[in-house]
Amino acid sequence: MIDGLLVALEPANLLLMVAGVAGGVIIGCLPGLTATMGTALLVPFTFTMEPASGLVMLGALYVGAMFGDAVPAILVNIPGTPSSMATAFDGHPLAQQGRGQHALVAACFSSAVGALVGGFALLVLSPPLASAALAFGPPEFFWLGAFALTIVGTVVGDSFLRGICGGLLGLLLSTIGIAASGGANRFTFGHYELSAGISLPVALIGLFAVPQLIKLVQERRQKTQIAPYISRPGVLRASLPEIARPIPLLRASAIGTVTGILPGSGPSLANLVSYNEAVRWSRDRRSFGKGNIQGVVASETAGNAAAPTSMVPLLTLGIPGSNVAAVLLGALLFHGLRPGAELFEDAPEVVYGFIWAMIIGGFIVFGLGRLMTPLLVRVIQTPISVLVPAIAALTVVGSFSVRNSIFDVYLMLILGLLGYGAVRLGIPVATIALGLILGPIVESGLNTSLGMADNSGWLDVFVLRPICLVLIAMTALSILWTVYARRNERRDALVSKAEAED
Amino acid sequence: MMDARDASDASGLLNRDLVTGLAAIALGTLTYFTSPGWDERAWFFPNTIATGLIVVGALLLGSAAMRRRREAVLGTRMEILDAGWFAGSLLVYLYLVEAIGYLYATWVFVFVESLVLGKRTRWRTVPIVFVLAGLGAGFITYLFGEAFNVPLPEGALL
Repeated sequence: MIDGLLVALEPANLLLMVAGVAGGVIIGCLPGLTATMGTALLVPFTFTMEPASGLVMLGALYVGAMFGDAVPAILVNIPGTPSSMATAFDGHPLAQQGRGQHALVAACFSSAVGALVGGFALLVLSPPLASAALAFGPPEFFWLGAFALTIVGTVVGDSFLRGICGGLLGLLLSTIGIAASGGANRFTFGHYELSAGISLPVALIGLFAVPQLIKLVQERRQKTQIAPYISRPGVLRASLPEIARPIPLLRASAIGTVTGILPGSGPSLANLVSYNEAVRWSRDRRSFGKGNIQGVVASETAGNAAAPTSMVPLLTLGIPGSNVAAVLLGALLFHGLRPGAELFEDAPEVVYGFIWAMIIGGFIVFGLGRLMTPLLVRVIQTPISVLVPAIAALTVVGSFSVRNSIFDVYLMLILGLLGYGAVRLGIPVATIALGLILGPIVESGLNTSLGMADNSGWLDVFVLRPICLVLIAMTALSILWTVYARRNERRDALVSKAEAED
Repeated sequence: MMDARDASDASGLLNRDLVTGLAAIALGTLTYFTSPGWDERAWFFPNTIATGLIVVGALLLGSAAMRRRREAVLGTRMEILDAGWFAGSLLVYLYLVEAIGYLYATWVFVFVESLVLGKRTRWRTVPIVFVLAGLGAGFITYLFGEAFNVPLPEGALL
């Protein structure tokens, strides 16, 4: 743990953290660009770094993006990412009242508090959970992969079946190349470049960046109105009694911490739940939605507390709790690091360095966020005609640099168009990415388990092991719960429609 | 979801479950045809996924038959044109990257995209956009190629 802190505090890594937070804040504040896309774009550039430095930078970028997304939510009423949706509810009315700086200061302060609480929760909870993962063998890893795919399929997107379809497509893509067992060439169609399989960073850039760029191009005609921003000195000091109330901060931090740990929910859900609770516990409920600064505090604190804790299932079990976590899983695997107990034992400086980066990132957000705010007001006005070609040029650099291959750049475009098609069909690209990332783990678990089953029997290997039983039950429960919840949603929608017609 | 104004502009309404289901079954079947069979250990996993795709595809077809909701899967005509334009321009950009190298290809790409995606382009501003595009491309090339030492695609020119 201390080694990780020392790694994070190395001058070069501190500098990378500042750069990561600054980059994350800018990415987060540009409407249409997501933390996932920013992380995916940055992954290839971390390969020339030490794994610890690369992950420190990625962690800091994520923390920065979680604050940056509040800027367009407050000033333009467009959340930079889904995790700042509730920030806009009160942040934008505040900006319209000429109190935009108050809202941004509140967002910066609560983001920092959330990141600190979530970061420490990640630090405390991860090691014991990772130790529990030591009991996992190949059959358990096979079921864990199946569970991860199911849970993401159930939580992300509006159709469970289409989510599963995306996961299966990702798994199929992961089988391209020479098979680890048997050495057969699978789906290479004569292209030797495919023998080593699809490079994860190339796939992540294609799947997350290209559909987003097409969306930006399509939405360029929409007009946005930016609220006036007037900068005055001493706003933080004046706002502190209002924004630094311990009970609302603790409540929002606790909601964010717990929601973040649940796989598939993460910051996007945490900010909404926390906002709802802030309204419920307030004596002045009617002021919410009209410019109550506590609405901004509740949303930002929870969203930023959930960001680090969404890494708990990733670091301990290898289940990504959010889209960014899925990209980070890809980054870890590409650096040759496998999440779980091994990661904590074999590369403690990397994993703890990453966790500390998220905690220190909270402090950096507080300092840098306030300094950068006047600049961010200009950044959010960057025209699409500048943003899109610049990011497209970066996707080429990122995908080429992994293996110095122009084939990979074309592959990135093909996967990007596949991702766009998936988005149009309502298949979340995160499920495809997750299938692609988890594919080798699931296949290796399956093949080793099949070998074990030749001696012990299928039932003993795949079912009659305590952890396997728990994982099978959790997978079945998540499927049944989704079917039940979706049925209820449809019934409620029909009832509402009938009532409206009456 | 789209609003009523978009609906009039939508080019063909389709059922998402139907399209996804058919695509999944087609992909699963294609995988079976490509694989030598279940006996080889290396093909066990792809065949298992193919089976999963066919099963999920069939369930999606069932869902499409029960709920016949049709949506503008491809988007409005303008959205299709925008997506087609951008995908096409990216393809040409990649070809140029291979042919003339990263710096000049990026210069051309940034210049053309800035003109096309810009709100209003006046003829007077075209030379300025051209110069700014060159400076932008040069900055990215220098930043990654020289400062960060990241390899960039080279072509006939650079």
